[in-house]
Amino acid sequence: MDIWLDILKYALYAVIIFGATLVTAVLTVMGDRRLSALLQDRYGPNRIGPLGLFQLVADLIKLVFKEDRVIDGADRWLGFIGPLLAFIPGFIVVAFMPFGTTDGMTSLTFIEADVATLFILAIGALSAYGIAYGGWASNSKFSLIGGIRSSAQIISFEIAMGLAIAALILSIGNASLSEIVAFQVGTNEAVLQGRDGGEWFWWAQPIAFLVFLVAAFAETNRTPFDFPEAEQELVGGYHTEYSAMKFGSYMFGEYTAVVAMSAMMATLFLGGWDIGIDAWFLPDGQNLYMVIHEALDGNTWAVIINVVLSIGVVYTKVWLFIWLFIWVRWTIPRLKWTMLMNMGWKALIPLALVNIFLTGLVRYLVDLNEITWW
Amino acid sequence: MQRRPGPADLLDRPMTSGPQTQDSPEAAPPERPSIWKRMYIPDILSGMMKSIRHAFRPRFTVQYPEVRKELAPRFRGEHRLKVDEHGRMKCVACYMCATVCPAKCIHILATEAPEDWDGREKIPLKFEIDELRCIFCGYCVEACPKDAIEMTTKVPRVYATRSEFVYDMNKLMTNDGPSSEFALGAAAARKGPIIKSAAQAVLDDAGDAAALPGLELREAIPTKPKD
Repeated sequence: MDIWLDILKYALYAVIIFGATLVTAVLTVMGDRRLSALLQDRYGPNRIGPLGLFQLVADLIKLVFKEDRVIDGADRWLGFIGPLLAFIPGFIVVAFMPFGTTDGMTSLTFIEADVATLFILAIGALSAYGIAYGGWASNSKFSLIGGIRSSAQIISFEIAMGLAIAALILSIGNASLSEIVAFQVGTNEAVLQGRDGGEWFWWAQPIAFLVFLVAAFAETNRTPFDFPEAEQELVGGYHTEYSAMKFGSYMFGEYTAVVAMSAMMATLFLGGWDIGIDAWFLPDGQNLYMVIHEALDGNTWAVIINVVLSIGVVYTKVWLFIWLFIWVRWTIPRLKWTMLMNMGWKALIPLALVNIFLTGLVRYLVDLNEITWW
Repeated sequence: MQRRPGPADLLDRPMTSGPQTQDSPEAAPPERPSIWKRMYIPDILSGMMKSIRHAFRPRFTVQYPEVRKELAPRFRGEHRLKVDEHGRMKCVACYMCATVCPAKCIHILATEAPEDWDGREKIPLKFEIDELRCIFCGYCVEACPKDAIEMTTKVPRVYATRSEFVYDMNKLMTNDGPSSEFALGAAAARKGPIIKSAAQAVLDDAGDAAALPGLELREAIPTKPKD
């Protein structure tokens, strides 16, 4: 009997995750269109729905009913799997994110795992397969170039991302996302035992933040690193030959990846559900959620208020990064692919390695009590 | 300064022109930018400041059809056949406009002018312009020796069938009036009667569609401005 309850519970989780990420991705697409327009002295879609937000619904309905053409010589199986692989990993990544808290001490996650960071890195890399399959299965030279560019790009920047996260894990000693958030909040075990924590990692590990930020742009194939699409060069790159919902899956998958990456950055570097400025008003080791929890003696109202507040805080941070993605997209031109690869291998990876070395050195010295100011 | 070794050294004959043969500052490649510039980060940040300023500027889009753009008087819109002070159409069916039209959208049939139209030899029996084929180049207006055809500022209207786009003589002669709506933007939103053209007034006075040969009276199709 219990197993059925478990299945039901996880099915419900899946529905919630899927729904929330889908809604956020839809809003991201619409936000991209309208915020891009804002930066370009024009209006975006503003006819359908309030603020034009139903435009994507109209587009998706159109895509669903479009004819799905498969060109001669295309690999049908890979052409079917490709869009799926581009679309699904974003949702899996979101499942691991700590999205809130009940009492300011522990995070709420759908999946609690000690290897969460490792897992989401691995799953995130699956989207590279989707693009590579899409390029290969199109039976077209230019699509193939787009697919190959993308796999090379994603592989290179996966390494940089992993190394940036490795510095964080080194700081904490644990790869779990809840622990990373707890460290930034200040409620981690190590922090409570005297290590200095409570700092968001964008400040404590600025090099890792920079490396991860740049790598995130490259991972999601967003300008200035959108070489796989490269609208001005390759028509559509890997998704030229796809129509209807396969194209929709690629497009939507790209934005889902943006949401997933933003969620990752918000969790890893901006402290997740931590409010941060409440440290200015409250005594050490306390945060707003704890105060609310104690003030209402931990009854249901406190839980509800805390959950809603913390989800709001995380969501705001995710949207901050989404806005950053959009802002940067219309600022930087696309340079050259060789410059991208040079940057990935010759700049970011050494930088991340230097960062790991420095982090290790500082931790070593702190543990030996040689320096106390860190 | 000394010339750097380059492809010129491999030639059989000496190079006699080009930047590598002269000792000029342009001969050397530009210096590698500083590490600060090569990181791109300060440039990216300043670029982001520039692009965010656009968010606070007014937008250029005209929200058609609620807002109409003001059109210049020389805007080439739908055609109109003009009449002279007697109320007679100026066109003498000389076929200049039909000949010069790049899209071959003007179709004219000439006929003998009525006797009391002094000085006239021909008038058109049929004068049709297919506005769907028309490319609105204005050559017909330039070619006409009698200033009989002009292009109004009416944005070409759309219909559901191809045949409705073929404007016959009557429609072309009565095609003025609502043009002012489209030309004046917000002022055009006011509703009012369609101003009758002089030709229409003449035809009304004549009282009978058969007064002028070959003409069939059809109502000028009123436009519906969005209110």
